Amino acid sequence: MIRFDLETPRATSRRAAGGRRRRALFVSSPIGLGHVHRDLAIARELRAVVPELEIEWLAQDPVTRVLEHAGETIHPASRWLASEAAYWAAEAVGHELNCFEAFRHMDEILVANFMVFHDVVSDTPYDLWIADEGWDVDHFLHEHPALKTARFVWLTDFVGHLPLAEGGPREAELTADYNAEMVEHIDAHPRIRDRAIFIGDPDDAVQERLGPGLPTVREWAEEHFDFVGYINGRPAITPEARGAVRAELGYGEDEHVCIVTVGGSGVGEALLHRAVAALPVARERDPRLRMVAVTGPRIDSGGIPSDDGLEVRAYVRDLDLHLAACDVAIVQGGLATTMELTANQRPFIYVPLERHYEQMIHVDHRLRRHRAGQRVRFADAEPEPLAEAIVEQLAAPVDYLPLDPSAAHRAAALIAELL
Amino acid sequence: MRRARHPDEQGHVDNNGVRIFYEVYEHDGPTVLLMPPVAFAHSRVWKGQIPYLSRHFRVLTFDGRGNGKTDRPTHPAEYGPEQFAADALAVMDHTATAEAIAAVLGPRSIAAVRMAVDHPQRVAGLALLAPDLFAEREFADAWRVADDEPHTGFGAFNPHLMRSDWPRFLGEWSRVMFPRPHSSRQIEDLIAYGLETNGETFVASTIGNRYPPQDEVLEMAHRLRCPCVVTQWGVPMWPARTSEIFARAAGAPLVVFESLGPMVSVRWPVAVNLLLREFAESIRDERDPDYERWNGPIAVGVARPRRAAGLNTTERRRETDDCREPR
Repeated sequence: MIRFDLETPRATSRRAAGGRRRRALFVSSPIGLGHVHRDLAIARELRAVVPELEIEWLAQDPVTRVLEHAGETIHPASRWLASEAAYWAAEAVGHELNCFEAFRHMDEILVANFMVFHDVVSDTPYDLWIADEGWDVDHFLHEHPALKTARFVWLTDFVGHLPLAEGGPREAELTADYNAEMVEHIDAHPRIRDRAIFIGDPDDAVQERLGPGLPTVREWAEEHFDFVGYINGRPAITPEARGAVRAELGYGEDEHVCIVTVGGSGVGEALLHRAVAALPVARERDPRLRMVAVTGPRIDSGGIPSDDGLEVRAYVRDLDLHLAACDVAIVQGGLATTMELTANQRPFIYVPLERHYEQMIHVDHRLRRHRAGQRVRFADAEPEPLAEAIVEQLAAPVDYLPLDPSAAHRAAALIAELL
Repeated sequence: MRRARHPDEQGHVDNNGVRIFYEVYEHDGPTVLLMPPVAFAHSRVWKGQIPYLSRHFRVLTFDGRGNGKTDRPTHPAEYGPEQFAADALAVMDHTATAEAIAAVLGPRSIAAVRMAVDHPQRVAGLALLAPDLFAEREFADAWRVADDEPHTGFGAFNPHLMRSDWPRFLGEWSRVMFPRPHSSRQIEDLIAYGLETNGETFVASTIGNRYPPQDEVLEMAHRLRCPCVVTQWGVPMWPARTSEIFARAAGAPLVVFESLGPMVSVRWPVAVNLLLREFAESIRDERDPDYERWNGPIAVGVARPRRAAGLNTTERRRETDDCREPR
């Protein structure tokens, strides 16, 4: 008789066998660097609460670079992970990235990477698995609950695939179908996620419906998540300390520093060019303007023409410090960078990637709630309006909602209860 | 860019004038040969298996005649199980593969069975995933439906529709293949694979596959010498149950995937990966496979399912005997 049954949830042991030290596996999404910084903050807090906890990371480039720098232990099987970052970079066309379709078509990579995860946890007993938007882990554990053999924590900063008008009825139907599957997964197996932690506040969850006949994102998230507030990777610098940081970075008191960054993925080169094109126009109105354009490792910095007041840099160490010290920034609509600027009360212009529902809807909603940043559509990011927005932002008073610095601690406390 | 793992070697091998495209993913042995399904799809149906299995075994795959980067002969006589088996052997010869554990999906399983029976020294194991091994009455009925009748659902399996409106056939049939909800990606993929060939080629390949009578297939099952595992889908609407009879005759374990359609490896790649790894490792390590290793103690507060995926053969037989037509 054969029972090849992966659908029935199996018992998970709460306590480490044989009195060994307790061990956690942390899966940190490589789609953007925002996850790893907050995950490191959570890990630090978690170790403060459970000092003997050993944390290993299953992660890939560019996340592993940050982890190595932080002295963390990267599981050797990480090298088997198929690259998600390279995949996303390749999916972008100009300043457009249809993130829903890109996610759907990542199915092969998600299966491959889940199998790496499964091999790792089959070979080594962990007490706890933490996945920060490790979509493969969460999805396949719900498909095959028998494969869950440890406590599992799910972290995310948004809930629900949402359709954009440009996607027409097909996109509306497909996003609803994906959301319905998520809702059904949680209904059928409410104990797969021992903790589901939303990196934000209930007000950060949008009011859009998950689909026809389904609850709104906010309703469903409130029912199924703990909200810990936004976790910023590094504490914001105080206004008093800003002068010293600026001096250290070589930014003068009397200059207006504009940082342009599009993240490390190579998506967003088009925006860099737009920002650079706006510089001469902006400098006519504000001669003190100095622009620092950060290309990141995947964009050819030589392709950007030089100009007065422009500095093109392939790599900037401690970019978050530069963002915290700048006078204005031009960025994509990614959550981590915009919230970094929000935490530091810096003026900024954000240009969401077109067709990217997370940036267009979820992040946009959160930034509006925090009264942070000025949104510019990419189509409108021509030199004249962009220059105007830069000058406007430099003069505008900043009155963002403050972030609660204890969010990482709160997340860690929720996780530690499982150990 | 969308591939999780790229082949270490790829190319074409000539089998009596038909060029067969193959891929090799190098690793220590044994070699797992992932055989292509029927001609509306090609070797990419294994995209959920290749990255995983190739971390544990050497993996070989090829596009079956009629689709992918392999030639598309036009005559049904070019699509017999013996040609298909010869294609597989040609690929194995070309890649210096003395023997392989063969995994096959769907109706072309008959070719893999023939290869295992006729060339026992080349086939170290046989995993038959949802195989249609002999003609089912329902298939024959659908095939014979007149031109003017509606070709929907199961009735879409009809040469009139295949020839006159290939995309519509693919749309109808891919939904039959994936009855489980939330299968939009799998359906999309199957249609895309199908659009790489055409209805005329598919009709030729279907006629050429020449489903043998049940007696002949069961006789082959008795002659099988290598380890074998058989899976079956578990959708009640689906009439074909050839797997179970074959498994019984071959003395092979039968694994049933409840609520899934025929393309189990596509819709549930993780489950099939674990099954195939266990099968291949048991052969490599010369031990009995343990398909129950994931069945730990059931979680507290969880009701034992009335019917879990993977029923025992006896129960399954009782359920299906009543509805099977004598042949």
